[in-house]
Amino acid sequence: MTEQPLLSIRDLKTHFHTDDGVVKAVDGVSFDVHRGETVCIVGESGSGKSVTSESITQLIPMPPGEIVEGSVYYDGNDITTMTEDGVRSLRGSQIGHVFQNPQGALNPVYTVGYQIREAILSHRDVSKAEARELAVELLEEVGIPEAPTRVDDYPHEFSGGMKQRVVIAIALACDPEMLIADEPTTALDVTIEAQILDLFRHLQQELDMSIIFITHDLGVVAEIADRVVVMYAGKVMETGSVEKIFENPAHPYTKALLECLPGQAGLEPIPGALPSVTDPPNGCRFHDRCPYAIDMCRTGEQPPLHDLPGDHAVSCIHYEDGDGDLPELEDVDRMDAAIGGAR
Amino acid sequence: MSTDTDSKHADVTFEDIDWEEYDGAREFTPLMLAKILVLGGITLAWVLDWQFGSHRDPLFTVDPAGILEIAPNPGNVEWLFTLTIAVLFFYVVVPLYLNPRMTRHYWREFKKNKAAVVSLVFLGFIFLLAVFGPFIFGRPEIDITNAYQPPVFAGGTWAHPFGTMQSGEDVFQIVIIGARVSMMVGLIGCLMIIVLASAVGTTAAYFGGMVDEVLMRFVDIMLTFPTFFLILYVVFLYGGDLFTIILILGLTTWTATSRLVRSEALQRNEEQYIDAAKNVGAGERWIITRHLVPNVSNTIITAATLVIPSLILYEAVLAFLGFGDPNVWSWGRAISVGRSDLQNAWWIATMPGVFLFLTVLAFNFLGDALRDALDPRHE
Amino acid sequence: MSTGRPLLEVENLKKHFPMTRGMMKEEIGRVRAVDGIDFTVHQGETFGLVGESGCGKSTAARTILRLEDPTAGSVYFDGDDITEYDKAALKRYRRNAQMIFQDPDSSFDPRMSVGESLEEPLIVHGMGDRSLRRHLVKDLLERVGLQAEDINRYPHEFSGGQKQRIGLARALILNPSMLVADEPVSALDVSVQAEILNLLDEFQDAFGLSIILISHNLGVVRHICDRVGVMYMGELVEVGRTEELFTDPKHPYTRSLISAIPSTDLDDRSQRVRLSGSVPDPADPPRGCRFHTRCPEVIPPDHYDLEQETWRSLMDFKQRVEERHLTIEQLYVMLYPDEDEEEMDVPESLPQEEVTSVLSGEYGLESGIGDRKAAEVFEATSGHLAAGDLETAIELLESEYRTVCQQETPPVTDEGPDHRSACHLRSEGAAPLSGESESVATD
Repeated sequence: MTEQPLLSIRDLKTHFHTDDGVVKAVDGVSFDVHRGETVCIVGESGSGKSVTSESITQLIPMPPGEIVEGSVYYDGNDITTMTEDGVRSLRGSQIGHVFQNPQGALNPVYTVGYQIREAILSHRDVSKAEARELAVELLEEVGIPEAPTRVDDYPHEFSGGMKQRVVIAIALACDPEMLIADEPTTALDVTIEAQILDLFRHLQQELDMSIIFITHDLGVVAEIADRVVVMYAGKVMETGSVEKIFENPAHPYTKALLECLPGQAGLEPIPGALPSVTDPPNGCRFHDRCPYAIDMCRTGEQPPLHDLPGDHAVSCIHYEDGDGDLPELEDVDRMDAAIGGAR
Repeated sequence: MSTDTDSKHADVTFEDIDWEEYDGAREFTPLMLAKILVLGGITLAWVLDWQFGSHRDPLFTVDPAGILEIAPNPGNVEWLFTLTIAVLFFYVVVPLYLNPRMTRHYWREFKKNKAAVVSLVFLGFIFLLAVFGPFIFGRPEIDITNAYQPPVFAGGTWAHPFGTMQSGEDVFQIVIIGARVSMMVGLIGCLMIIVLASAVGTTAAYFGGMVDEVLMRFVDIMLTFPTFFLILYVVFLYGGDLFTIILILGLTTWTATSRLVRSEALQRNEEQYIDAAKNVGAGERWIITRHLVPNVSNTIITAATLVIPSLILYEAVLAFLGFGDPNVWSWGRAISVGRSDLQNAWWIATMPGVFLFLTVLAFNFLGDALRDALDPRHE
Repeated sequence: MSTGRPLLEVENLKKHFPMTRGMMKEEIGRVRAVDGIDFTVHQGETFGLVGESGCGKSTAARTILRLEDPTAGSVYFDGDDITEYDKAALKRYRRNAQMIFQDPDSSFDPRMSVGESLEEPLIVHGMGDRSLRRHLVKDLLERVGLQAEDINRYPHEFSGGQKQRIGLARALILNPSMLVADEPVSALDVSVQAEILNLLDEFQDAFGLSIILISHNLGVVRHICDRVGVMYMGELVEVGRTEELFTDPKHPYTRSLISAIPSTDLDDRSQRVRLSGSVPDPADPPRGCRFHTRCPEVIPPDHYDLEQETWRSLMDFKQRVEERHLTIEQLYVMLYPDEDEEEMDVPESLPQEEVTSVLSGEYGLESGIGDRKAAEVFEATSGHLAAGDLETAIELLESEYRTVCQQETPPVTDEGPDHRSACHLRSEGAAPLSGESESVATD
């Protein structure tokens, strides 16, 4: 893809200042989102995936949060240097948000139609009647049956899956070019999740939107992603097309994530726990849980993203020359000895 | 310590336990023993004194060095105050001492509020003054020859640092006695509210259904009850001694707190640890006392602390209006007496007034700071 | 492994929650959370209960543990009916049947140290010796992969996975013979889920525990369960050995659930069966087979020659009419959505043709209904609706669009050893529509 990406995040660092020190929730993240594609950010809780998405439109509470470094280019303009008003208008009109819990996103005392209308009226210059019409259209768009009669119902009259559809309708109210969905199906049953994922796919084809989809579920990623960003402890471990990530995972962390899915043959847990984000370890953030870690992984900085063939890049020392592969596990110790000897 | 316990049961693991051997044995820790002995002892002594003691003569007289005569002749209020202090010691001081980490955490949160720290120091001073002051500085006595002495900073002498009243009583001594009365009203009332509100609130929340319905309807009725007229009526019927006034205040002001406790306990009741306790076979009393009450204690303590100033003010108002205990110099009564002499002897009403104002203010600051420090949402 | 009498036998277990109104607690209906389920769990076996949220699987578990009192039915544990236990017997039962809770954050009292939480069961059951209690707790903490020193720490100092290990320790400390695990890993990260599941497996082998695992995640269930029961709206629709049930599911609901699991296999993209709609109100469950309102394989009458998908749409339409929607006001709004609500002036009747076309659009029937007779009924019904005659419309649909799925409760069919299902397609007499159901499954 040579065209300019719709969204381009460069070396983004979002930190939180707390009593216990500076939490480096996002610590140097870069990736692009092109027009009309779905990018999944995947990682465990605490990996910084949500903070990354909230940093784009500055939804994080500031203070204690702060974007200390980096840029977020949207359509060529750097959002981090915009005024608050500028960001707000962008948030409503260009970038829509869908959150995990549809319960919390809807106000129980207003009808869903009213809430969609509000979203429309705050960003578009239309009459009330036109707004109502648009609201009905939106509800139809997100697959709510008999939308014209349902538009005057209250949120509690909708089931969980239907509520999430309404939330999506609100996010779509201003005809955004980009939708950021933060775990939109985690609170839903699998059968409903399938319906909502269908909806996202359908919307994207229909409206040619870009979607940033945040999830911890690799099954969901496989279902809808075009490209994938794997995050761990505030850093990007690996990024690439969905085919590359699933069929040819390069980073040991990605491999480990794929192996610990229940229902797969092995069910290998990843030993250890996430490192501290206030005082991250030297070298690769994953080194103390990584079976392939050699001494060089434990010093210096997180390795840069090395480009691999195709749409694929990985932040792992074993791929330094651009094509390598992970060593055999039994060779890992020998490599340390060899490097140590060479010194 | 851990090594010797380990060696005693070296090879016992949970699957070796034959549960038929264990049935109902309860173990008494030294702390529980101490609690039962002290609290039981005070209560027993109270009952004995009430049944057999004399109203006139002191229990005993000690005069160790000739300066400090200790000749206690406690009335009901004094006994109840002693009991309250003992309870505060076992349920506030001891737990804070036993959990130094928790104490440090709360202290860190608490000391963020500078006004509250000053208030705490001030209240600690007032508390010590209230508990020990009357024994050290004596009680006010009528001395007509000494009437209308100005305080020391207005040309008086150190014999009467805050001056004297129209009948020659020492204002400083009155302030000390008044502090004692205020502390009694505040602390005893607060303790009664804590006990009643948490018992009723948690029970209603835990059992729900009919129990909840009955208890809460009772609370509704109590809330609409005009306490003030009840006190006037009781004072009219039986004469208003301090003990009766404190009892009435305690018994009528717990209801609002119990509502707060209930709504908090209802939320806690939904937590899975309650289910977990049920699931291991714990009984109702165990769950309420071990899980519900400790987890709503923040709400109870905060609410009760914020009630203290209104209790103190309530007593002051009653005393000011002349419905207080005529044998006790409370701040309210002193203000009432001094109000006619504001022109020529401003200190009579002013000195107790300043203390009343500062104490109430300090309790309010303290309550606010406690609410912030204890708020579980901040943890 | 399963010889002799099962450790747990659940017979026709029901748990209804009455809905009451007003001061007099007048019952206005009941939520049938669990509505007659039967299953057995053998010594050392893992039995999985799966289903969507609200299907009653958690209530079933709580009732089996007597955290709720059952409305009807029996639960035999080791031959004793636990529903008849008095307080003392119940306390003894608690030593034998323990539970692991879903939410590691809320399942520990935040004011108790780990030691106090784990000692609680021991104290409650009368172990007065503190040093013995501490010893047992430390030993068990080490066995679930934590450290003895952790005994003095507080729950908030542990990660979710560690807390769930402590939860396992609390469930084990009374040395039970049965564990009920209610969504034990659904609150955990995938990388940690595997640890907990493996640990559960390990302890099961070591102590011969029977486990009832409740989960909505079929991956988890498939990984560790020996047998699985699939619940829908308080009923078990299929029970069988895990491998058999996953490779050869008999009930359409099981098929839909399995197909809805997101797969990491990229070739499977959009191959999932889509269930339309959501779970109906459990206070007013559908007649007949409770799944018929969403079932992609709902059985058409013999005299119609219809695509399965078309029949599904017609059933959706029928259901909507039966719920007394599609009144003339609602149809008017659907016909003229631009009109202002307040100024609406709904006429006595609406043009029939327009109503028919709007309804065809709404239910995806624009390409026509394959069967001429069925199409006539649809048009006639639209006519009644257009005239505002809801009752006649309901009657017409009831007599013309009949399906055994709505008329009768499906009988339980034996599908082989240890495998049964409750579906009209599987019972004798109803011709299975295997060819057509295939075409729906791949949608």
